[in-house]
Amino acid sequence: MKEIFFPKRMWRSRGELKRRYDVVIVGGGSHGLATAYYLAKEHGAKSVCILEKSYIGSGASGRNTTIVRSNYRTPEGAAFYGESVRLYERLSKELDFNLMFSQRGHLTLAHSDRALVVMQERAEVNKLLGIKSSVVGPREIAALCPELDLSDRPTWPVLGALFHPPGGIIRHDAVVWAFARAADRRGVDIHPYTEVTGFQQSNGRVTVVETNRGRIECGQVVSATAGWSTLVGDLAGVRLPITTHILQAFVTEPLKPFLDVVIVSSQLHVYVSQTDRGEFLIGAEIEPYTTYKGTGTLSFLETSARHSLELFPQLERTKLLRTWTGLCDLSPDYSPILGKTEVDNFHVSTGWGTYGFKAAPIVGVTLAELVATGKTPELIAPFALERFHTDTLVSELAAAAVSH
Amino acid sequence: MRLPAQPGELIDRAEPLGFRLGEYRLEGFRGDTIGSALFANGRRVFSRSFKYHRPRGLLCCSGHCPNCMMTVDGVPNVRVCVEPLREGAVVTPQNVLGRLDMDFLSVVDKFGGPFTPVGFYYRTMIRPRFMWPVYEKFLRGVAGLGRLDEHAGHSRRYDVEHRRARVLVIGGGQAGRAAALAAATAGPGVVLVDESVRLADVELPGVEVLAPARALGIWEGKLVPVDSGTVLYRYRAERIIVATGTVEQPLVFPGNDLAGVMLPEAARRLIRDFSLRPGQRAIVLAADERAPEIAETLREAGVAVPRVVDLREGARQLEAHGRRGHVRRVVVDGEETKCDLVVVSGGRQPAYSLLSQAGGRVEYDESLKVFVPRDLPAGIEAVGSVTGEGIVRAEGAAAYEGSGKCFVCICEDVTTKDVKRSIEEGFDSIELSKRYTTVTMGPCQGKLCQLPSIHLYAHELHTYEATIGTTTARPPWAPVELGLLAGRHLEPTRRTSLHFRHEELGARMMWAGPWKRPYAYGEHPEDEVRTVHESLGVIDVSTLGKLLVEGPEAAQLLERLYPNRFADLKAGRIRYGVLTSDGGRIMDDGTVARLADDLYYVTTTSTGADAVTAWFEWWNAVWGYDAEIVNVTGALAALNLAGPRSRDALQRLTEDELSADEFRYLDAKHIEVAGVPCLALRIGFVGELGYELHFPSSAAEYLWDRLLADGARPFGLEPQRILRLEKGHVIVGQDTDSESNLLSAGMPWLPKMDKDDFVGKFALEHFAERDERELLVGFTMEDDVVPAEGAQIVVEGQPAGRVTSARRSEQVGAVIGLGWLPRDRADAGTRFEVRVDRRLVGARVHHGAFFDSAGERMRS
Amino acid sequence: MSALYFMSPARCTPETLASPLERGLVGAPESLRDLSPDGKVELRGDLARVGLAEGDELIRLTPRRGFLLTGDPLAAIDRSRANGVLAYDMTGALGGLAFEGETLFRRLTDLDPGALPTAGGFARISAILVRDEGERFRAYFPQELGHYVVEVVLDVLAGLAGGRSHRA
Repeated sequence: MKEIFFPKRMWRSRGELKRRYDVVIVGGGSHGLATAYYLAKEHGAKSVCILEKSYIGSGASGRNTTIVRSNYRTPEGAAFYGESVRLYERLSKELDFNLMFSQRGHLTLAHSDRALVVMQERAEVNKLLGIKSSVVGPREIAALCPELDLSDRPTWPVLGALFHPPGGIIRHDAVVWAFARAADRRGVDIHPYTEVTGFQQSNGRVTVVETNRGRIECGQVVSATAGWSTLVGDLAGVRLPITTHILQAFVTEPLKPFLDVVIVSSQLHVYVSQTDRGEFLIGAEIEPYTTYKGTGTLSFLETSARHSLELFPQLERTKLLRTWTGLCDLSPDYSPILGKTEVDNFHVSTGWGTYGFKAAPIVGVTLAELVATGKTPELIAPFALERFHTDTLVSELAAAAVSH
Repeated sequence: MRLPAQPGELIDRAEPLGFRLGEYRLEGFRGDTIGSALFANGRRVFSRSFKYHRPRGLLCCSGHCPNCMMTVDGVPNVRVCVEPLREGAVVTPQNVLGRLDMDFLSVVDKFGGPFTPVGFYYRTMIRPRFMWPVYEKFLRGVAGLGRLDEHAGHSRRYDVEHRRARVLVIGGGQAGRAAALAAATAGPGVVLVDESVRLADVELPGVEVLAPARALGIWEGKLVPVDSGTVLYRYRAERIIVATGTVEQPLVFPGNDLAGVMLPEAARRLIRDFSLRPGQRAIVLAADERAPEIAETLREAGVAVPRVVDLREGARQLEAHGRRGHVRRVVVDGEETKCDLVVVSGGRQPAYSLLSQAGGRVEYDESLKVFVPRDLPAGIEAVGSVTGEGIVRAEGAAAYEGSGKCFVCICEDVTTKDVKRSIEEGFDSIELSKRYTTVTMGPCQGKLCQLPSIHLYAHELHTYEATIGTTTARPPWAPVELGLLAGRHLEPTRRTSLHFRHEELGARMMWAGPWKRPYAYGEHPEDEVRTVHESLGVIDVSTLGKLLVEGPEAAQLLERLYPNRFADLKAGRIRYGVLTSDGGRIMDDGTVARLADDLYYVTTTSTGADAVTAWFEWWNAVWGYDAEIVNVTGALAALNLAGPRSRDALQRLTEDELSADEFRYLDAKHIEVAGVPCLALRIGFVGELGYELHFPSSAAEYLWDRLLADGARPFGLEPQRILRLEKGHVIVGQDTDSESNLLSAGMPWLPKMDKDDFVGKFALEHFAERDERELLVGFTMEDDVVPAEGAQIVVEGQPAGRVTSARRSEQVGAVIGLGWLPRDRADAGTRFEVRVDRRLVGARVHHGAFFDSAGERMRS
Repeated sequence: MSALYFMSPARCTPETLASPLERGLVGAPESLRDLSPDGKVELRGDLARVGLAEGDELIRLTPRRGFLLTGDPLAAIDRSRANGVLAYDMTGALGGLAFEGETLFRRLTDLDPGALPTAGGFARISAILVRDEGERFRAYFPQELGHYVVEVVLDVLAGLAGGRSHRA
C-alpha cells in the first residue's frame, strides 16, 4: 500500500553477469521466476540467476488467456493443478502484490452427451481429490451466466457444463512481476535481453552456459522456455517429444462487465471471459499446424467470432480490438514434462500446451525442491520425461477431445 | 448555428433528421454524422474518460480516438464522429454516473490522484484476502465503457463475399488515386478502397471504388478483408498498393485532453463537411509547418485566431486550462490567451500498420522523427505520405512540465507522470511499460499515443527512439464488429437420408460427432430394447463410415493396417477389426467384409470415417500398394434389422434365400430387398439375430417405410447402447481413451503377433512385456443404482479406476457396466466400490457378455 | 453380378428413390435446380483411358482421380472398368444443386469463378463446382449435407434480396 505514495523499484536494473551461479534458470517467464523465488525462499539458495532473451514475461506468460483452474481429467493432473490453485489463492498476500485473482467460477460447456460424460468423469475425479467441481444442467448454468444463449437456436445447444467454482482469471503480467520482484529481493539476479547460445558439458553435466553476453559457470540448469524448449533442449543435447504450435486470442473494446464466470467450449473451440477492464477476452484452441511464426490468421478471427456469437449473440456489434498469438509446446499426451533429463543437472519445464500459466506456482515449488534436493517430488513424478521411454503416459487428451 | 453553405459540404439542408440525446430531442441534417449533429446542437462534451471520468470532446473527428464513443440505439462504443445520422436515432452517453456534464465518478479525477497512480490496483486491496471479491465487484462496477443490452440476440445479417483484384489500392488520397489510375491503364481488376464517404461518388476511369469501406489488415496470401458495414469483402489481390497516408498526432502538454482541444483534421471536417464553426476564438499550436494553413482555414470559417504558435521556433512551456472540462485559456511561456478552441498539430505519423502486418519492417527515421515502413514484401507497395514522403519534421510536440494532467494516452488516461513513474519502478522497456501503464492498449490502438509515448520513453531514458523501437502492429487496423467477422453463423450438420423420418416419428435427436441421430423414439428407451429382444427392431446406422478398398494389393494393405488377419478372409465373409495407432493405441473399430478377392468393404465408427480414410491413404502412400481407397459413407444408407423375427421379416421382402444354412453368421451377401439392391451383413452388435443392410442412400426412406410397415419398430442410439452393453461390446472412444490398447481393453486375442508387421506391432510387443496398470472389464452393481459414466472406482479412498459405461438392463436384471480397474482387481468376481452420489456402492467384476455369452441368439 | 451392385440407385426400382434436397427446395426460387438424381461416377486410374459417351462430362481432380457426370452411370462404370479404370457409382453419395449469379457464388466460396471446374471449400464444406454458360453454376456435395447447403443458399439469396436478419 505505501508504495502508492512512495514508489519503489520493483527490481534492480540489469547488472553484469557473474562468473558463476549455482543455479542458472533459462527463461524469465512465470515458471522460471517462480522457481527462482522458491529456490531462494524455501531452500535458501544464494546464487541463482534468470537468463531471459527478451523482457520478463515476454513469452507465454504474457500471452495466455489468464485462466486458472484445476478441474483436470487425470488424478495426476487434478492433484497437481489443485495444489497450484491453492498456492495462487495465497500468492497476492505472500508476494504483497495484487494479482487480481478473480475466482468467479469456470464453466466448461457440453454440447453433446459424449462431452457430458467426459465432464462427469472430470467432476468425479476432482471431487475425490477435494476439488470443487460438478456437472450442472441448463437451469444452473442460467443462474450462473444468464447472458449465455441456452436456447435451441445455436447449432450446438448447450446441454450442461462442468462447473468449477474456484476457477477464474488472474492478471498474468502481475504474476510475472510479483515473482520477479520477490526473487530479486531475495538476491536472484534477473538478466533480461540475455540469450542462451549454448551449453558446455563434461561427464554428462552442463558446466558452462554460453550467452550473447558471455559465459557462466553453473551448478544446475533449469530450462523453462515454453515455446522454445526444444531449441534450448537441442543446445543441451536433450531431445524432447514436443511440437510447437501457435495459439491465438483477441480482446474486444471494453464494455461494462456483465460476464462474471469463465466460459469454455471445446466443441466450439473458444473460451470467453471478461476482464476487470471490461474487455472480452476470447481465445481459441491450438492451431493444428506447427510453426514459430507469430502472425495470426484471419480464419481464426472469423471462426472464433462466429463461435463466440453462438454463445453470446448479444456481442454481435461489439468490436474486436486487438489480437495476438503465443507459442505452445505440445506433448503427445497433453500433460507436461517436468523434472530431470538424461543430462544430469539439466532440468526442464515444458510440454505445457495451453496449461502452463495455471501451473506456475506449483512448478516453482516442485522444481525448486528438485533442484535443491536432487529428489523428484511425488506430485510431479508422473510428469517425468522418462514416461515416454517407459510408455506410461498421463492422458489429458480425452478432456481436450471435442467429441466422439 | 451552421455556416453558410460550404463548397462540397456533405449535409443536405433540405432534409432534417430528428434524433434523441437522452431526454432531449435534437435535429440534424441528412449527411451529418451523429457527432456533427450533436456539435451543431451545441454539445461539446461527448464522453467521460476511462479512468478519471474527465469530460471529453471531439478530438480527431476521424473515428480513431475514444472521445466520441457513445451508445447508439443500444449499441455501445459507437464512434459518433463517423457514424451517419439516422432519423430517430437514440444516443446515450456512456461511462457516466449522472450526466455528461455532471459525472459523480469524476471525483476520481479531482481527489483520487494520489491514491490511484499507475498500477495502484496491484498495490492495494490485498488484505484481508476475503475482501478482494468485494473490492473486485466495485472495480468491475466502474470498469468498461459502454453498457450492452445483455439479453439482445442477433439483429443483423452479415455476409462474406470473396473477391479478387489484380491491384488493390488502399487509401483514396491523391497518391492512392494516382496509383489506381496508373494501374488501370494496364487493364481491368483495379479496386480502390477508402474509408471516406467522400470517395463514394468519385469517378476514376477503369477503377472500381469501394467507399466508405475499411481494409482491416493484410494477411498471408495478400488476403485483405474489407469492412463495408454488414458485408465483409475478402479480397485476394495480386498486388497491393498501400496509400493510407498519415495519422495526425496530438501535442503532449498539461490540459491537452480538454474539450475544445482538437486536431486540425477535426476542425477541417467540422467546417468543410458539416459547415460548423469549431469554436469562436482559437489558438493554433503546431509542431510542424501547418500553423499558418490551419489558422487560415479557421479564419475563413469566421473563427477568431488571436494566437498562432509555431512550436518549432523554440522550446515552450504550454498549459491549457478549462472550466468544467472545456478549454478556456492557454498559457504559452507564461503568456495567457483566452479561447474556446485549441487546434493542435503534433506532426503526422505514417499509417504504416497494414504494411507492418504484411511483413514490412518499421524503423525510426531520425530526420523526420517518425516511424516509417521499410523492406516491404514482394507485391506490396506503398505510395504517398505513408512512406514518409512529404512529411515535415515536427519539433516541440511535447511540453511535459507544468501543472495539470498531461496525457500521453487519452484512451487509457495515461499521463506522462504515469509513464515516468513506471520507468522509475523498473518497467524500463517499452513492452513492459506498455503492459504496466496500458498505454497504447485502448480503443485507438496506438494511433494517437504510440509515437508520443515513445518520444516520452526516449526522453526519460535519455536514449534514442530507434533504440526503444516500437511495439508490434497487429490487425485489425481499426476495431471491427464480431458479427462482421463471423459472417453467417450456421454450422454444417450431417443428416442421414432418414433424418426427417426420425423427426416425423418424434425421435429426440442428438449430436453424435458431426451427425444428428435419434436418441430414442419414445420416453422409455427400455421399451425399444425389449422390442429388439422379443421381436423386431430397426436402427438407422447410415452414419457408419464406409470405405471400399480395391486393388490387387488390397489384402496386403489391410493385413498391414490391422493387427488381426484379413488376407485369409474368404470372399463373402466378415471379420471384426480394430485399428491401432503406431503407438499401439486403439483408434477406431468396425467390420471388414471381403466382397471379392481384390475388394473389401470396411466400416468405421460414425465419427471415424474421415480420419480412417486419411489414415489408410497415408499408409498406402507410404507403402505404395496397388490399392484404391474410396470413402462411400454418404453413398449408402445402412439399416440394422435386429431381433428374433428379423429373418422372417426380411425374407418376406426378398426372394433371396436367408435360411441359417444359406446365410450364416458373419456372411456378407448381395440381396434385393423390395426392389432395392442391398449388401446384407449378418452381424450382431446388439446381440440378437440381425442383418445390416447397406444400399443406395436415395432409397433409404422407401426401404425404411417398407420395414416399418412390415412390423419393425425403430430403436435409437440409447437402446442400442444398452443392447451392446449387455453383450459387453466396447464403444471405441467411450470405453477407451487415447491411451487404451488392445491388451488393456480386453481384446488380447485380437492382434496376431506372428504377423510380419502391422501398424502398432512394435508398441504392442512392448505392452506385452510390461504389465498393464489397468484393464477394461465388465461389472455388475450390487445395488440397483446406475453410476454416472465417469464415476470413480475407489480403492482405499483413492481414485483407482473409472466407469465408462453403465446402464440398467431388464434382460440381465441388474445394473451392468464397463470400467477400468487396477490389474490386481480385475479378476472375475472381484468386489470393488464405485462412488455414486457421495457414497460407495459395491460391484463385482464380470468377464464377457452379460447374457447369452455363447452368442447363440445372434448365430441362430 | 458386380460386387458393387448395391451402390447404384440406377439398379433400384425408380419408385424407391428420393432426393436429399427435396424437402429443402420446396418453394425455392426456380433458379435453384436439384441435380441430385443425375449420374455421378468416381474414377481412379489412368483418366486418359476412360471412354466417354456423348454428354458425359469428365472433371479431373488429380491425375489419377476424376469425377464423371453421366446420364448412364451403369454403362459408364462398365466402360471404365473394361478400360482398366476403377469406377464407383457416387450418384447416391452426392447432392447436386444448380444456381445462378456470380455474387451468390462469391458469397459461398473463395474459389475463383474463372477457374472452374474444381473441388474446394463451399459454404464451409467440400464440394465440386462447375460453371455453365454465363453466371450459371453447379455444385456437388455430400448428400448428408444437402439439407444444410439448401438452407445456406436460400439464406444467402434472401440476404442478396435485401433481407435483414438470419433466422428472423
